[in-house]
Amino acid sequence: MAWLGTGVLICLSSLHLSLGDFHNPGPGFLSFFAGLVLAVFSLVTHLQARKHSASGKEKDSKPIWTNRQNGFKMVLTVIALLVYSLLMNYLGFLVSTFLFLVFILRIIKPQRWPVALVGALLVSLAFYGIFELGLQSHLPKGPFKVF
Amino acid sequence: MFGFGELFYGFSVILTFSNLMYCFLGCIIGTLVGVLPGLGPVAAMSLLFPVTLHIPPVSALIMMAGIYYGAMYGGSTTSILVNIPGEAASVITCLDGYKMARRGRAGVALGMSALGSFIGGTLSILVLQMVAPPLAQVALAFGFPEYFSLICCGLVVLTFMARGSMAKALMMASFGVFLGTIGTDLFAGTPKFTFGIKILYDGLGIVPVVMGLFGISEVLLNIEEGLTQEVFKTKIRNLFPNRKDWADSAGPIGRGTVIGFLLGILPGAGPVISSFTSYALEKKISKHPEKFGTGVIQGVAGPETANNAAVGGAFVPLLTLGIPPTPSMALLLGCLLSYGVQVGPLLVKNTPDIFWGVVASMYIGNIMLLVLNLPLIGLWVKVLKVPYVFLFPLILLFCVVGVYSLNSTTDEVILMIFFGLIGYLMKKFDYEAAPMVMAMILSPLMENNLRQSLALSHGSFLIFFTRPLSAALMITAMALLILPNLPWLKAKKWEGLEATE
Repeated sequence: MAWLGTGVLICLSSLHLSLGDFHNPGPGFLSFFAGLVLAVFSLVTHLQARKHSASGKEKDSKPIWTNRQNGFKMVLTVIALLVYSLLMNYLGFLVSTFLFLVFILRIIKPQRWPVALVGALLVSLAFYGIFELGLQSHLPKGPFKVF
Repeated sequence: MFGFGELFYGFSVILTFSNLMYCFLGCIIGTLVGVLPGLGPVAAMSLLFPVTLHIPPVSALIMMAGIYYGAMYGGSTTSILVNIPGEAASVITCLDGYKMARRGRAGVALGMSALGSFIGGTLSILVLQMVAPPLAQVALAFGFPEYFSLICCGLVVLTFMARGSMAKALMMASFGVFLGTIGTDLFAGTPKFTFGIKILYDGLGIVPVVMGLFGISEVLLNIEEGLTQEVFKTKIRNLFPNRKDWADSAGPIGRGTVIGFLLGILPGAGPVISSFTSYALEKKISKHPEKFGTGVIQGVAGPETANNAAVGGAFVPLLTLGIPPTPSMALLLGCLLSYGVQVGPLLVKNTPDIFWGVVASMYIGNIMLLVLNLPLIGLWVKVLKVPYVFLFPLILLFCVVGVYSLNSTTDEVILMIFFGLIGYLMKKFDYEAAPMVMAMILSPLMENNLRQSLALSHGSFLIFFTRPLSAALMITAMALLILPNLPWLKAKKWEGLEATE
């Protein structure tokens, strides 16, 4: 049903942008039809799924996560990635990457402290060396303007 | 004749130290990302996209192409030894390849996979060099309506070929078309669906979307499903197949080449569908279909040949029409456009160094890959033994750095994470990402050609049906939309493919 809602929302926003006419299509013309097709087919899929579950052909909703703990770790990884990308502008690439890797190696796939710390440090330095010094990718330096 | 004269010119382009190095680098990176599960050619090409802006366009394209076909070689190694596909086109190789390894025939499986890939890859380049220049001449007759009809037809073919529900694939394609409309309207200058976000004014970037959908989502799925990676412990010997193996594989290799090349041309089909179709066909025509899945060499030779042959096919629409049939080809198109190269029917004529240079590089690249994948197979087995716990943080970092270095902004990194989450949910609920990405890439081209066509016809949609070529494409698209839903054909659609699942 989320797709149906998305389709309807796209149609309404496209109307707001103006559809124009067939002779001179407006900015919302193509997106309106895209939203319409999305809404129609999501309705078809939803009705098909209901028909299948009513006739017992498909098992009722199975859990999204096979393992809750791993599912929680997946969510934590997404949050860590978001925090990492936001921190990068303030702390710079080296420090934020080091912190991100320590978090991943301690919390998501737990390793011993020395492994996590040394691994995070070496990888951060290697990435900085390859991308900043080698390929000149202009990574954020933050307050620690090393090299 | 058949472009052999021009091919010599192509060899003069590639046979310089720097271009050979870029070709070799592309092949190495391609094999590496093919071997490593969770990092496919699309993610690797996205990652190197910013780097290619600093080198000449021919070198950039040679390297990017090398990554694409190199990944097809590498993917089978993981399928055969770990029973996890290194990348999507090698999924089907797990069935018989891994069983062959368990029966002590890992060497033969790896050898046949590399040799089949080499034969399929090389023959498809031969056909590409013969077919593309005359096709480009035909494409010169294409106007706005023909381009629009071709894109429509391509998107329908893409949803038709999608595994699973066609309705879901159509949903993804239409959502992709919407995503492609985000940005500033070229005709009116109005911002569309930008929500005041600065990076959206130029449209959604391909790289953050692709890296999110194919790179980040795969890592998230592996964390959630707890991927364990155990390399099958066996001595890899006798890489060269014996006479019986060759006799058994000759047919699948020949058919795989034809299937791969033809399906490779179709939008969205690419190496993945080619390998599945080859396997389904081999199983269907085999005298002993029950043996498929127990470790028969035909189940490795056919699909591995097909996925490499599809690479040559995929270059046809890109280099003759400027239409990318796969996300990887879209990145190549983006790379060419960033250099200001005119992509389309005139590419072969106006920039022969690019066309013939890339074709010649693919011949050399395939030879390099044969060497990399046969005598040096031990090296890739060692790579496979790197535990996933150390691998996935690296994949995440590559994605973050790759996207950041495009425009030096973290906004696009956040966009990538968002699409990573969407990609994860799509995988969980069986929605394919390929139709969405392809539609998103083709959407601006589609919109432009639609609006120009309607302006030309004073608002009449009949323009798409009154011009013969456009009408043929539109009728094909309609037939593909209607036919699979007819009751007696519905049951037959992908009967073979379903049998492989």
